[in-house]
Amino acid sequence: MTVVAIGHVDGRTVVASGDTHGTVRLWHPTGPEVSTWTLPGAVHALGFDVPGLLTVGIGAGVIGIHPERV
Amino acid sequence: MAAVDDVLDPVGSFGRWLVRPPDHYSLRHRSRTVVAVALDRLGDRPIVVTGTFDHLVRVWDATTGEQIGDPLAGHTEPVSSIATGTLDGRTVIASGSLDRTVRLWDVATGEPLGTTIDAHTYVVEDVAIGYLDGRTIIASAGRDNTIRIHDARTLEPLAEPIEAKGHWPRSVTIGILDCLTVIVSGGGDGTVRIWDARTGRPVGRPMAGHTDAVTTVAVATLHRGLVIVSGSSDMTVRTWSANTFESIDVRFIRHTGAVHAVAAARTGGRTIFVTGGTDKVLRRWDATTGEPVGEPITGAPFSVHAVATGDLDGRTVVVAGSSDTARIWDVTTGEPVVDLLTGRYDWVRTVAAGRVGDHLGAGFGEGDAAGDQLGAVFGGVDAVGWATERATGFSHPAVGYDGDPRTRVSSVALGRLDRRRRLPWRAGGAPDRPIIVAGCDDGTVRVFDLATNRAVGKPLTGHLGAVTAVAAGRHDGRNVVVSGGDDTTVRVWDAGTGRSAGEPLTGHTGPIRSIAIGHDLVVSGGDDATIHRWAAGAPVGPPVTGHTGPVRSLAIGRLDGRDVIVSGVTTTGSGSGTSSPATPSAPRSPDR
Repeated sequence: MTVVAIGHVDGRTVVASGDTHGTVRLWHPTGPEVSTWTLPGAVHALGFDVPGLLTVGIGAGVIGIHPERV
Repeated sequence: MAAVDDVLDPVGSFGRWLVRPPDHYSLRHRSRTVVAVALDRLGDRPIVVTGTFDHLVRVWDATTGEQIGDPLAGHTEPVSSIATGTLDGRTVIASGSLDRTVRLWDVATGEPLGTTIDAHTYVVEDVAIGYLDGRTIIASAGRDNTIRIHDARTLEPLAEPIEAKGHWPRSVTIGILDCLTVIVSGGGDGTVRIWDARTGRPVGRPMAGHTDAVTTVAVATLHRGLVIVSGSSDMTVRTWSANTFESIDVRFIRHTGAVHAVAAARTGGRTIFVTGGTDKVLRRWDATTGEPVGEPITGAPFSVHAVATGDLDGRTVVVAGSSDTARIWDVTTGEPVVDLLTGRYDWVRTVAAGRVGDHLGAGFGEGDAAGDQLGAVFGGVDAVGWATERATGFSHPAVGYDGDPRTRVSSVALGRLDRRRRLPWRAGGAPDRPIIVAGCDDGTVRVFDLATNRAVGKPLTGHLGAVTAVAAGRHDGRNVVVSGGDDTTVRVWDAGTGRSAGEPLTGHTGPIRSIAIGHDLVVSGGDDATIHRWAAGAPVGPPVTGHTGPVRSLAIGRLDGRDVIVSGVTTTGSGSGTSSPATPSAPRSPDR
């Protein structure tokens, strides 16, 4: 399963995707993948609820990731 | 590509933060760490058997990952080992436990066969099933420093216990050596030993070389005869000739942690050993050359405690047991095939992340936490919970441990109650607090106030089947809850009154799997591979098509001044039956 979210980093629109293998990817909506993280568990949820912070629901917890400049 | 981290430490030492369920969660549910696995068949159906710390043995369909029947209960302490075999044409399971007993189970009925074998005077470390003179036998290794052999039909000992003094047997398997049924054991003394299954006498001499305890052993028949492979706490894997009692090859690359599990598999015309341990990595080795086969398989979230190999739909696969879960991989390709939902993943079926406000934990004596917080809500078999950086808790008075055990939470979302409206259905408390919205298998949508940990009003009813997707947010100037279900409908609820806002939205031809709420648009995705857009209780334009699999995730955002939808799907590999993620689609314009 892939979960997705759309938000903004450094004022640019980005799309995040996460999968059951624990891989979270950040993409330009119409361009290439820009960042990848491998997390220790299936990704159940993603959110850009705070500017500049990607929240990742993983297992029964949440990891907050500050994406680097994209 | 600017990769940030290869692997993040799950305890949060990477400078970000991680929240976990409350500690009492694990006490309530006990650990379901998978410590033993086996692969077998029940008729034509491939199965996986797991043994876990919660004292239970479970049988799973290896193709679908679904549990078969109820857990096999009887052990009074954690299960330490599992073996499968055939007895009188039936598939049977032998389970060893820290309760010092060995139990035999009929897989088809889920019932114990005969009485409990009081096998050892101390905990059972390992069990194996083999065959001797046409009989099915069970070998068990115990921390009482003995190896015992029982007839599986009568459950009576076949011979006097093998006194393995000084060997401290930790692992055991059964093989055939020159037409002789033998027991092979690995011990805490770092040696591998062979025993005659009929007489219990040692065969040859101990095979020494490991510098720490031998935690796992397996056997395979190669052109050179019976080969033993052993894994050790010294982080190495070694192979031995059962004919010469010599080490065959020491070229095996070391693991970076203790080796806990090893199994042999036949694939592509050659024999492969699969090994796993505390480094969370499965490694494959050519049994003849000792050379690595493919890249190490990663993806086990925690230490690998057990592995087993077998055939699944024509593919050679390995199942690895780890903390709270077990996963099946294709031995040849190293690709994951299916996850068995156990332990925490059994309980936590759905997670949502977001802002949870500043009034959490009142029901747990935490008081008001200062400042806005990020957190997660999660739902599982029988409850919903929340966790933030500062506090954790459960909100489960209606979906609770004392409630209907059939109630399962399929979907959760974070939302807020409407600040501006009078809320006659609210249980109390200040307005504008965060809520959890839970979609349940019993067809209800339930709302919980995160501040009080209490249900808000009565469950919202109307769906004719499991509620498989929920979302909460502002839409058309008010806070709403939107739900979708197996009944293919989407329903919008007024978060202020708890009443349905209009008729069910119909148009999908399969269960709803995802929902997102935008300022003036609700979108839903389903198993029918389509995305529907809704506004003011009516469809907006034709369904968005193009996906080839269930739409499992949706998000609405802004791009270049336009509203866009981002969708994530599940696709099926051609002919393999493997579920694999697809890359996210390019954003699609709502095209309003």
